[in-house]
Amino acid sequence: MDTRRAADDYLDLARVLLLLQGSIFVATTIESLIWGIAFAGAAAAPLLLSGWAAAAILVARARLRADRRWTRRLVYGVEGFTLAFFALDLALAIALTGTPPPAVAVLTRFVLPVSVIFLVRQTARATAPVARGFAVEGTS
Amino acid sequence: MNLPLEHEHAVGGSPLYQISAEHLAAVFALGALLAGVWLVRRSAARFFVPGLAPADWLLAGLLAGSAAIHAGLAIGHDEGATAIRALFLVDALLLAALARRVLTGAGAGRLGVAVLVGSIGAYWLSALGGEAPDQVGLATKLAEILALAIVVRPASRPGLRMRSFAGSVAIGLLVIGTAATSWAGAFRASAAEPGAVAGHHVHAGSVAPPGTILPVVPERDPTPAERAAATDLVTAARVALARYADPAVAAADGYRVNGLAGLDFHAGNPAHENDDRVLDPAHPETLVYAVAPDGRPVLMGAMFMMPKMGTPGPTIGGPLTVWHAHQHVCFSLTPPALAGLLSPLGMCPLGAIDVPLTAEMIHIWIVPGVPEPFGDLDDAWKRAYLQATATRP
Repeated sequence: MDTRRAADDYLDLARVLLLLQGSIFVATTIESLIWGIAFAGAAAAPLLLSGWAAAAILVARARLRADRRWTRRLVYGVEGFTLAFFALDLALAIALTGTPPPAVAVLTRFVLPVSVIFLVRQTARATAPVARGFAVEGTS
Repeated sequence: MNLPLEHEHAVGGSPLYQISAEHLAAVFALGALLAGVWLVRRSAARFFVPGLAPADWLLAGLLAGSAAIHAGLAIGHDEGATAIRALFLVDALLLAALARRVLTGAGAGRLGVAVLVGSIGAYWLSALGGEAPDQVGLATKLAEILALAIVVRPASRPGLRMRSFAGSVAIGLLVIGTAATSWAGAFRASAAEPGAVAGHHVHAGSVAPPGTILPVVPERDPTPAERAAATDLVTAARVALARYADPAVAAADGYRVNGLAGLDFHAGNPAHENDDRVLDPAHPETLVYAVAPDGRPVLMGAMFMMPKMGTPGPTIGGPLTVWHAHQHVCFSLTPPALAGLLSPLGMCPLGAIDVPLTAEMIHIWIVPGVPEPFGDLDDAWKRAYLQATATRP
């Protein structure tokens, strides 16, 4: 398989995963809004952060291309933040209950972000030789 | 005499965060599928189209996984539920046929969309009907939504841009709908026996609401001694807590009353959380206030917490004084505050951590005329009481 097609395939899959993840963040933002109404004194920051993450992921999905470094960095940023909080939750769950978080949490907050990071990195790698080739041609 | 209640602690949690016993067969079926694929991976490769795209491999995997889970559900459900078992089996066969089509390069097509939407829709109906969702059901629906997202994934051709947009919106709505119906199912299942929830205990076969762990207790009446002990406790709490009717006094003693609002404001006192006093009416860990329609804060009662997680609270009033714990509470770090419960989609809002389990606690309501001095206090009763308080001269 040529590198261009491989990069397109990875991008294709990464966009699908980002759509699912963005939708999950939208749902979480709506839930956070409802909890904010239900509980007097509930924090507003998680609502804003979840809304920001939903927007960032959905924008990144629409703009994701192999040659767009800032879009990739935006994705890495949100995924890194999600993974960092998952690591905290994992440590807390094991320390307090001796069991990992529920299976769906592992899927949406670990497997999904790790898969997105993997695919976006693979895309960047697959297109890197092509980009370098163009740079060499341009300077010669 | 303080009779033991014989309740098993931390067993009455919501199925939303667990795997139901009747769904274990589905987990085994998925495991069997994975093991089978690994064993025949080389010999089976000749049946597949070479050069299948990664998205199609994932699609085939998701469809086959969902088929295995549905086959397991057909096996694991009660013998009596013949119609449900038949539906699971039909769904499993259709999903397996779709997986085979994808592996042979034919694509899932409109049949794939119909089967997946039908399967997700059936889950919604089941949850709205009061079937308690669990981790197997939720994971399967997320896998099916991902499969659908692959089937309807955006095409790069300009003429199909609107269709791609519509497909993306549909995926978003399916995710939101799955979360909403799962919440509805979890709360409806727990409301099926409201007496159990109000009394803060679970009878055999009843379900705890999401975020709450209620002990499973045998149904029995309190003994005269337990009834007397419970009455004495409420009386002692009424006398000891009267001074905290004024939130300023509570604040001076270390209770966090800032931002007092709503019907169920819990003002905690960190100094009392680790003082090793258990069920001391004069030193509750938390005071519970409500705000009357005229803006006046009213001390409704107190919440007592055990100093350590996993330690059962003393049930001095027998079945009248049943303690409970909370699970999967989202807690914001920016700033520290309650941020809800763990979503059926496995998420706390970003910036919040998931506290998987709390220490046991019990509420004592000290306002006069309260229907039950222990456990949950109905919001409608609180409103009526506060209204009467506000109109009193």
